Amino acid sequence: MITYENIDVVFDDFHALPEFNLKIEEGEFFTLLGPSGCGKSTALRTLAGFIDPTAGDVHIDGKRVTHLPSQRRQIGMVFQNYALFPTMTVRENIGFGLKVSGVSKAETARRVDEIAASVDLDGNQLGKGVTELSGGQQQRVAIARALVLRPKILLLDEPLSNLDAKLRHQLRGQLKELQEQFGITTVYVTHDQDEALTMSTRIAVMNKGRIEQVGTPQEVYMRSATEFVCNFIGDVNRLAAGTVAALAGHARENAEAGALDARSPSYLRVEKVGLHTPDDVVRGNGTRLMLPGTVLSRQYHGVYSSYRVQLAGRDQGVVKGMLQETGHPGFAAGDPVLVGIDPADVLQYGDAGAETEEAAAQRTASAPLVAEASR
Amino acid sequence: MSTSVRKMLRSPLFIVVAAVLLWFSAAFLVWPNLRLLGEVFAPDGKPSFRALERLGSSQRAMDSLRNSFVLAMVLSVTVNLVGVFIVLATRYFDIRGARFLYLGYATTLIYGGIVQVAGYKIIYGEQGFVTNLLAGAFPEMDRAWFTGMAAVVFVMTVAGTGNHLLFMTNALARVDFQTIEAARMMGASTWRVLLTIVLPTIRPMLYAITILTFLGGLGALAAPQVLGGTEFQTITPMILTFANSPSSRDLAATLAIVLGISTILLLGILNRMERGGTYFAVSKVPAALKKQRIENRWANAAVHAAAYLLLAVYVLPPLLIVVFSFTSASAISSGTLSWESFTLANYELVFTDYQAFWPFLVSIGYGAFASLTVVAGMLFVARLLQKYRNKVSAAIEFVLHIPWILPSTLIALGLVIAYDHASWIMGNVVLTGTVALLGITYVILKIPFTLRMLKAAFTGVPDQLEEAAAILGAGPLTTFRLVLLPVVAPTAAAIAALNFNSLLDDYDTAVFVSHPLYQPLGIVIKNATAEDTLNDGTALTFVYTVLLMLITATTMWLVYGRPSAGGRRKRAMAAPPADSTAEPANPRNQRN
Repeated sequence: MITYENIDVVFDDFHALPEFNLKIEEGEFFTLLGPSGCGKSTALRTLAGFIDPTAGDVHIDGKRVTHLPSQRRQIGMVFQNYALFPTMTVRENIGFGLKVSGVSKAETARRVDEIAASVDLDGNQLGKGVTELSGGQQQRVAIARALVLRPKILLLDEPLSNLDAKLRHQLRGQLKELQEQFGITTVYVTHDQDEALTMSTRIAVMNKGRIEQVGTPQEVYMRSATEFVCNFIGDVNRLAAGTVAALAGHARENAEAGALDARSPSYLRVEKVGLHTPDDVVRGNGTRLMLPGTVLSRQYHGVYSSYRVQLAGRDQGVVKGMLQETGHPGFAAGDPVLVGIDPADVLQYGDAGAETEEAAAQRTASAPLVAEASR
Repeated sequence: MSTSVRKMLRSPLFIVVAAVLLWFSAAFLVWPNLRLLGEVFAPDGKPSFRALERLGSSQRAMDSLRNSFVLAMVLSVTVNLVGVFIVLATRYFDIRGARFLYLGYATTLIYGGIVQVAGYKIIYGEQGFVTNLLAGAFPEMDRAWFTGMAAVVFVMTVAGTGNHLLFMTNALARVDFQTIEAARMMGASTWRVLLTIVLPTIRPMLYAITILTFLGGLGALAAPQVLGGTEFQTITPMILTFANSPSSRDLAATLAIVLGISTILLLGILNRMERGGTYFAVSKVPAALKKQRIENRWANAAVHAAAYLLLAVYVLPPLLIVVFSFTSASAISSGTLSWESFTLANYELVFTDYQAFWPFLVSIGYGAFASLTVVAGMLFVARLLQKYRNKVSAAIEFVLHIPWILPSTLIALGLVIAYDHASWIMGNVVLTGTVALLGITYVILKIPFTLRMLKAAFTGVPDQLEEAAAILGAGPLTTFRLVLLPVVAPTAAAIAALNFNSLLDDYDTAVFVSHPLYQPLGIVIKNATAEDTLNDGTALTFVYTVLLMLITATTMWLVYGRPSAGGRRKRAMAAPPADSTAEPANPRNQRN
């Protein structure tokens, strides 16, 4: 188990990690997620031993390692740019750690072959220089190099960010499979919410050096604890005052719809916005408020299309919604639509930045992720 | 104490390197210059301005000061005119045979300093081949026509354009061609584009070259000494003259200090300009420059003619030197060539006669010793300075740059004065007049260039390589040896080669500190120019020059031009970051 205990990291006048506390369980695939400069890499590098914290302690399996050199922490790491040694071959790169720790040549060769096979590197590639490999192959070498020493913990610092989209998707799955195969506690740093949601056991969403929320991917997405997390994860609408007032009124009239505070900042995930034709017979639980509007624009994404809709009521603003592409023509700019919103789907954050408990409880039994196409 | 300083002081490697550096800096960089100041302003231990008064009353000294500044200013104009022209002719305008022209102009990169000056003197001097030819046609002509300020300016102009070939060419290549296309689309002519878009864009580089040229003119030694005659002597030859007489050593020191102050002021201006930034790469994806056609037929012909005329000026001396290196002294002096004149005897002599080979051996010995020592030492220093960035490391770095901000003449003179008697800082060993002093001086002079380039090379190595090695179990020394050193090795080898090259024909430093029995090539070549007649010594000088050109060209090819993919890959890996230090070094004109 990894524990950050009251860690402070200060660079000159900049407080990168103030009072940072976190526990990561054994065998977890734990992700530190946040925007650039939020301190996620600093947290990772503190665990690796590259940064000496100004205060606080880091523990691994109950042992204090705060000032222990990196090489004695039994940690493997894959860097963002892979950090492969450019003057060495693939085999020499993977075997470097074994060489410096005095493992015999024969044993080094055996272990290098073994780990290379597990990351799909063949014997031919082992003899090549690392600059002769593609980005994906280099990444495999970096993973093999990190795993060959059989570390207790694997650190991954945005390892997919240098790859193209297709390869990134492919390697996500392979990374997760490797982690499960080796059963190794993994700490992953990324700013990509898709990566975090698809790969992690748990996620810590970070902002300005602080943890905003720790939870499973579902918890973080469906029950975003703070306004920041709600905005950072997924695509959301910030509802205009008029829309919130209308929804609050609807909720008061309909006890099932839950209560809303008309003054609180209110958000609605785009997939929770229902788009219907004005003459549509709306299916559902009857708690939805139907608001008339006009389609401003449509963007085609292949699997779905997203729409911007101008609501007709006073101060009701614009909302974004999406419809799965099922072969129907969909809406065009200028089409009249009915926008269906369930007050229970609205995420509200008070001054303390916490979602109202009632709203959160209402959302637990959530609606389908993609609004039904009703046209 | 900052975290960085504390961390630095915990490193045993840093402690050892710092202790050696502290002694080295105190003994060779600070103390000699303080002694020099003492010689001028406190000759008897009491403050005195007598040396300044003596300098003011010395007509020769004041003339040399004036001549130096005049030379520097004239060169700033002539070198820029010729330099800009040859770069535009070979890299900007669509001129036929541009590659060939560039190769011809680039002879200045493999042929300069005392070697070039001696070559010009031997060819154009009173007994020179060209003068003999001309005298045959015009018996009344003044045989000493190639002397004085005009000759000095001519030779130094040709030599000085090497900076344009390297630095301006590089700057021109970074001009975004889309800006030129945009100007063209708006109706700008070829000349207007050149004057309003291209030249203003590379203006910072031109300013920098101008200051380097000005400094070169100010501290010139070989050209004024060999070609200046009695009427045109400048500061450095005068320092040498004064330094050779014990009664006027204070004048030599005063002139050296004047030269040093001027250099510091000008380098200060240069640094300010560098900080002002450049105008390159505003666009995210700059387009490569395409050569521009000169639309006007007459202008095109005039530019072609001027380019090929200049080629002749550049190529004729080295070409004649190569030819005459295969002939006897009599053929050289008479200027008559026949098949019978050609011989390999000069080369045989150099490689078989110990006496003839000795200066070459001395130069190779000093060059190899200094270039390897300075690179080996600076590898550790550069790594530590790049790793630990704090006030202590900044102070160390500044001290190590002293040889860059002071002229080599001043440093050499400082060492001569400081160690002509037993001194505790040197363990009571007298260095002046010993074989060691020239080697030490070479090491000192090469520190700033080596440090700057190696630091840039280490900066170009991603920190993650070191972190990856550490997390895989390697200690700092293992990481340095197995990971960092192999990455910077190609750069280190290139720096060593460039250092070696620039020291092989050194004259300016050797003339102050070399041992009489261990005189390097530069001094021997200079002495050959003092002969009234052309003799076997002249033929040997030609052989030395050809060999030096071969060595320099080979080094240049190894450093910049080797086409192998592996080499390219390794160089790319060790390439310094894209800042001013990434500019290619001019092997003939490294600032010491």
